This record gives sequence, structure tokens and C-alpha cells, in this order.
Amino acid sequence: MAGAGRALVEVRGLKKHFSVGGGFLQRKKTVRAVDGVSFDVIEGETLGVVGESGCGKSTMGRTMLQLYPPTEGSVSYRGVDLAGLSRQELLPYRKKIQIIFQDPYSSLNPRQTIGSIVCEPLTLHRKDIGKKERLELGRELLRKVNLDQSFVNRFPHEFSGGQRQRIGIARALAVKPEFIVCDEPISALDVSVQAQVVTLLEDLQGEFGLTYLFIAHDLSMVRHISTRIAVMYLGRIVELAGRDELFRAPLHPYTRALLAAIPVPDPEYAARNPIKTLEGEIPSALNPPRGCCFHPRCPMAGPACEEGEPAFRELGPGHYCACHKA
Amino acid sequence: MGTMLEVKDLRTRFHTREGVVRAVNGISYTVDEGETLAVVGESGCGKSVGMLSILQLLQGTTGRVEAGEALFRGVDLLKLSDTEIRKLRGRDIGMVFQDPMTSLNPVLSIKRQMTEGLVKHLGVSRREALDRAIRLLRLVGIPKAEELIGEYTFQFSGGMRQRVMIAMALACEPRLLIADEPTTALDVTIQAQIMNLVRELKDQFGMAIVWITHDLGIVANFAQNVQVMYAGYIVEKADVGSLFARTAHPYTIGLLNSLPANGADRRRRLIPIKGAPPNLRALGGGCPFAPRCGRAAERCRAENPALAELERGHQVACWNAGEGL
Repeated sequence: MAGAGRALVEVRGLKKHFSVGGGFLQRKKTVRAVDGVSFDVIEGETLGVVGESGCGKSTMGRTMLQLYPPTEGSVSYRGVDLAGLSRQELLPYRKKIQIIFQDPYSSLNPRQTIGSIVCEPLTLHRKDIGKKERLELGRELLRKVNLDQSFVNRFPHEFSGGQRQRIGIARALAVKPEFIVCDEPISALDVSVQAQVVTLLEDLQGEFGLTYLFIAHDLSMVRHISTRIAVMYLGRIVELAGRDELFRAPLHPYTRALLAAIPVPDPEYAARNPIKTLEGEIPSALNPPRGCCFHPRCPMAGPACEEGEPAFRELGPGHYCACHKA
Repeated sequence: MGTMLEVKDLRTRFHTREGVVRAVNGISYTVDEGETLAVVGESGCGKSVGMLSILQLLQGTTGRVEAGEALFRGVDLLKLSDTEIRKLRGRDIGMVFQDPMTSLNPVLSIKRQMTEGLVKHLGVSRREALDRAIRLLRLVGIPKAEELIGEYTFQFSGGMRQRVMIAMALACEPRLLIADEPTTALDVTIQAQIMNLVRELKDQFGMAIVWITHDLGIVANFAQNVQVMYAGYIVEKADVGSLFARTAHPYTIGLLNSLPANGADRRRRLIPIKGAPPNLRALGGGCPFAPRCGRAAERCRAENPALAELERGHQVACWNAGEGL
């Protein structure tokens, strides 16, 4: 499943199920949030993950980080299965893998100063350095994300959404990670600020050789930043391909529907390509449809699609798709 | 085509403890029958407050409309009494807001919420109102409408709730539909469903639409005319074609440069707008965009430019416009 380059993270058959409900005279139900995904993240690339709310993309990112214990499957980081490690054994990997969260308001502690937020990972992972040196590193990190060094003594409420998101990025960078899961880092931001954060992420990737898993629902921004893109639907990856390949020749009907639904900011293009609608809504992950999970909404669905779950197979070089008809 | 709505020099301020927030600073525009006007801008640019102002929906806030007129088919909405404007809101003017969960009442059934307006505004019987409500729910694509109408909003998904909101807004066949970011909280496939639905209904009922959004993609796909707002001012207005083809205001140009390009040159680097929008409590006398503008000159920092015609139907508020950007 490798493209060019070496796999940094190998995900195989990863599942994350949650139990919900259950109580007096009520059976527990299982939400199949992530239901068997396999892919590699290549060193130095940005792997974009797109999908609509509830498709399991954030859960997948967090399960890869072992923030949630996986129900099944493995996540190997440079060949070591993280799921099999104890908390103590996991610690060095926590340093190499960081996360940036979607909501820049709830992900920063309002009572901590910016300096202490940014330096917190250092207190955990770099016990060898002193307080003074730590604060100096904090200032350095703020400079890296284009914020004023004097902000170290201020509090999160004094900052705008875009500035807070940069503080979150500085915190993630503190321990010199190799791999960063960006969980919808720009969704809560205004257009002009989104561009600020995306260019910052691009610059940092160039400077530190970072690998990103970039989770988002905005396809046009994912197209801009990603090397390859994975499309998720109901807990599964339905298509994975190089960025240009995916947009030029999408194979899965869901990918095509997603692409046709994006309003492109160009009136001439819009006049030639009116927005097309996909009927119906996403089924509940509590009770996913039999066979191919997309078949109730799929314009191409046939009898085979209601029966068996399609295999996720390589249909062209580096182009994977799970569809009976593709 | 007649004029449906004419807003003249609308000014709204919020009087807060920390100072006076100048949210809307003298905006004027018209919406014709059958027209879709998009109002574009980022958080805090006054696009929503401008709408709430003309509907007299700022009560309970510190916001006050300080000046201006809002003529809806010749009647000044700002001069209407509470009772009079209530008769118009929901009947002649339909409204859809961004968050359907907070705009629908969670403890009343959909049936109750939908029929109440019909009975009150149109004076039809409960039976008739129910039939009509069911028809509307079908129209907006809600399956099994006759069963689901007895349910409560929390039993619906986000997309379904937004459809209920739209059905309610259309219930009395309004002449004007004001939609404030109705699809922002929705997924892109659901957004496409709602956009196509509203377009169909517009063709069917011939209403005028004001669509508030921050998404230039929606503007390009959906509107005929567009106005761009910044810091409570309209900084550029045009028909959609010329706004995109001959973008004139540095802020609008900045917004477009912040977006990934579609097509051939998409590898180009994004060009963010520097800095952040100004504090509306401390707007100076100059152009509000000057502190972030690469072309700002002495005059821009001293004097705020008024909207001026660049070409027919294309207006821009910039001292440097027309000098070949």
C-alpha cells in the first residue's frame, strides 16, 4: 500500500466501536465509528482525510494516536504497533506524534498563560531542561508561528480564533514531533484566517520535514494542502488516491457526489457545472446498511451492492477504491 | 421588476460597557422582485446585524438602529410598531437562520410550530393549516411528512431541521426570504440539496432572496448580485459576473486570494490577508481596511472612501480602485 517513499505509519484493519445506551431493560448498541480501515502515511507527505460529519474521520485520527484504544486492528509507527504498548512504553511515541484540534476555544485552558500552554508538552517530555530554558523555547515557538514573543504572559481569551489556532500549533511543535494529526484545524476560522493557518502549516512542514494527517470537510482546502487524499464514509475509507488523480478521475460514486456538491467560487465554472445533489442522508453508524454502506444513496447500486461489502482494492497505481462497480 | 426592499443609510450601534460598537455604518442597497442578493463578509462585518436591524430583531440586545430606512414594498419597517412588524415577519418576510436548533422550539412539535404561524397569519382553519404544513414538508423533501410532523426537532438531523426551518419560512409564501448562513453548519452534500431546493422554490414562488454567507462558492453558484461587507460598510457591490471577473476592492481581492484556486494553477501559494479585522469600538476616520491593505496611502488612512461607480452596476469604496490593481 506504499506509494513513493517510506511508510511512517501503517494502519491495518483499524476499528473503533463505541457502546452507547444500555440500561434497565435496554440493550446496549454499538456505534461502528471506524469500521476497518487500512492505509499508510508516507513520510513527509500530507494525507488529507475528507468526509461528512459522523463519517469517523476524527475518531480515526484519535484512535491512530491511541487517544482511544482501538477495538481491533493495528497502528504501526516506524514498524512498532502502538496498540500493543503500555502507557510507559507509549510515552516516547507521544512525543513524536502530536495533534492540533478543531476548536481553538475549547482546546486551550483559559486559566493558563500562553507560555505555560505552549511549554506544557516540554514539562512532560523534556524533564531535563530547566524552567528558564523552557520559557525561552516557548518564546522561540511563538516566533515560529508568527506570534509576538511577549504573548507568553497573556491568556487565551485575549486572542482571536486564528491566533489561538497558532498557539495550538506552537504547542504541538514544542516536542519536535515528526507526525501531526491536524483535526479540522481551519474549520472554525474565517476565510482569510484559514489561509494564514494553512500557509503556516505548509511552511512548518518545509522547515521541519513534518508529516501531516489533515482531517477536514472542506474539499477545496484539502486539495490544496494534501499529497494524497482519503475519502471516508460511515467509518470506512471508500477511496484513496493522489490529490490530482482523485479530482481528475474519481472512481467511487460517493467521491464523485462530494466533488459535484462543492460550490466553486467561479461563476463561469458554476454556469457550466451546476451543483449536483446526492439524494438522502448518511445512515446511522448504529445500524449501517448491509453490503456496501453507500448503496442506499448510490445512483449505480445493483443487487451485488446490497449483498457483499466491496473490497478496498488497488484499481490503478496508488489508487484504491471500495466499490463493486468501479 | 419592482423593488422589494430598499435599505437607505442604515446605521446600527451596540452600546456596551466597553464602548460603542459601530456594527453597521450606513449601508444602502435594494433587492428587486425575483432577485437573489448575496451579502458576503467574515465574522463581525455586520452582515447579520444589518438584517436583524431591519426586521426589528435586536430587541433584548444593546443594539439600536440609529438611522436609516428600510422600505419593504414602500413601507418603512423601522417605523412599524411591534404588532405591525410581527404581522410581516413570517408572512411577507420569511427568515432562515444558521442554527436550526436554536431557532426552533424544542418543546413544541413540528406540527404545532408550523401550523401556529399559518393559523395566525393566514387565518386558515387548523385542518387546512395541517394539510398545508404537510405539503410544505414534502416540498422540502422530508419523507413520510404526515408521520414526522408530529415529532420534535431533536428527533431530526441537522439537514432535516434546516429543511423544517425552510418549510416554515416558506409556509406563508413570503415575498422576501432572508437566509442568514442557512447552510454553514451543514455538510456539503446537504448544503447542495438545500441550495437546489431554495432555487427551485424561488422559481416557483418568484420571491426575492437575501442570502448572507461567507462562502464565495455559494455566491458564484447561487446569486445574481453580491455585496461585500467589511467592518460594517459595504465595500464593493456588483453583479456576480463582474465581481469575480473584475474584482476591484483590495479586501475582495484578498478574500479570493485566500482561497485555493480551482483548476490549472491550483498549486499557487495561498495569499492570506495580513492582520485581523479592526475593533468596531475604535474605528478611525480612514478606510477601515487601510491597516491591512498593501496599497494603503496617506489618504486611505485619513479619509474613508464612499462607494463610487466603477462601471455600470459595479461600485467600490476604494481610493485606489480603477487604477489597475
